[in-house]
Amino acid sequence: MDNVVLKGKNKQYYLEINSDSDLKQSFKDIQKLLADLQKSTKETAPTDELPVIIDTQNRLLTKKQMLDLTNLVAKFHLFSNIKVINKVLDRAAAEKYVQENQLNIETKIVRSGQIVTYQGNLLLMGGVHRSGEVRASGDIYIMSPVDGIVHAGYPNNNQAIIIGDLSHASQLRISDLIAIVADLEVDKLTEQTLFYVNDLHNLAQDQVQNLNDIKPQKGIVLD
Amino acid sequence: MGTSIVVTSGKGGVGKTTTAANLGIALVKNKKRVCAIDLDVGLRNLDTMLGLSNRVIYDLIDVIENRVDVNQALVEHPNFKNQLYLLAASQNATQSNLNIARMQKIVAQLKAEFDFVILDCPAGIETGFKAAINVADSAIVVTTPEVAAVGDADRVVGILEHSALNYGIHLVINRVRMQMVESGTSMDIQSIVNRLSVPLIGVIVDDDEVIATSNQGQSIVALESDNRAAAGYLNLARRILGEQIPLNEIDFASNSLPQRSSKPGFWQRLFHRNN
Repeated sequence: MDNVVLKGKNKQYYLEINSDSDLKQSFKDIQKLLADLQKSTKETAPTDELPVIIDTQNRLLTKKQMLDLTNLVAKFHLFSNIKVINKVLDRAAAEKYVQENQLNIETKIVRSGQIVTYQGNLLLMGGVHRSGEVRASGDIYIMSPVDGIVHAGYPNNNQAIIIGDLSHASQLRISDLIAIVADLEVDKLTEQTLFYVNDLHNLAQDQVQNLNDIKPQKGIVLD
Repeated sequence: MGTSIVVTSGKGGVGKTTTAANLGIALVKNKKRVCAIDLDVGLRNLDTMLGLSNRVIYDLIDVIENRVDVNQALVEHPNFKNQLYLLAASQNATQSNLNIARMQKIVAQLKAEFDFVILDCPAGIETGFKAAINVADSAIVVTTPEVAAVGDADRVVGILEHSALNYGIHLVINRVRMQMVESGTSMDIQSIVNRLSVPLIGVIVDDDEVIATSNQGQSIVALESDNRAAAGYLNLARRILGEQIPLNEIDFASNSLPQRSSKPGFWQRLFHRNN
């Protein structure tokens, strides 16, 4: 695979620098690529300088490297408006990703009047008493008796699901939707029951074995 | 325009919430539209007594703090559709969240829509109680035939007398134990009435079924209207509606209860009933 590739996508030029290659070598290759390009375009009518996006992929450049790169590309007067991008997550974004996808484990009892809120997914092993409430921004997997309120996808994550026995719960909530368990067919609620938000933005009930067809799950981060 | 009634007692455990729930259903059975408000913020029970605890989505504090409209927060009773509604207390706030000015607006709005607004007051004479008497048109003081309960009721009556209740204060004696009355070991009904000097409007006989039904999330009035405790609550409701029903819930040996005056009472004037 070449170290450096010039691509056109969606009416936009991209100069991709393979992040597995040596950076010094890549700079030399850019020099060569653009010199060739300059030579071949000289014969045709001179065009305006075009905007380009330089994609450094999984590599994060230092300020000096960044400056060298933009100077190098600008030198050939082929491109202007040079923008450098990468797909490296910064710390805040990485922490947010981990937080949103981590699996919390609650082993304590949530008692009447208590509201316990989690960022991420929740494995519920402690029990929720009547008038208690657990909230998670992601999914909730229930392994313990629940009499109170279970709220997945709090406050507005429609991708969240609830799996587990809700037959004794008072309410289940996903995102901004609420169901009163007494109004459901309680004898159809088992440990295998899955609740999710369907395409019509209604709460829907299914079996956990169909989970992958209904809501394929993204990665769960374990500590 | 409806009437707001606060059910209060001072002492805890005398049956305020049970009385509020059963009175609500008894009024519904008399074709009235009723809204019950639980003011026991932090330790709510009225939702459970009415069998509505699993239906509460928004509560009184959500309404007070303008997160939802009062009509959104009302929980309709599935067995008494369009007749009985509950505005639940918040289980995770404190009584200090009860803003009296907002409460007055909310209760005024509910009084416009309902015949009766029943306020279930928390035990004690602190914030929740003060909020309740500020929005009430009338008060029902619940006591049991015990010296401690009557003493606390006396304290509460004293405070209520200083607040301007349009339709006054009435007394309900709850959990009257027949064996003790028969053996003469219970406090005498007449002496309780004399001590408190508040007109008696109901006597409820103690009955195991009251607790048994509430354990099922039901009210005795809804489930067993021929029960003697249920009869007491139904009579209480009819007296509130202005009917003249003798206070014969228990057979007073001396029959020493005060004669009801022939001039119409507060409740009768309120409902323009002169029968």
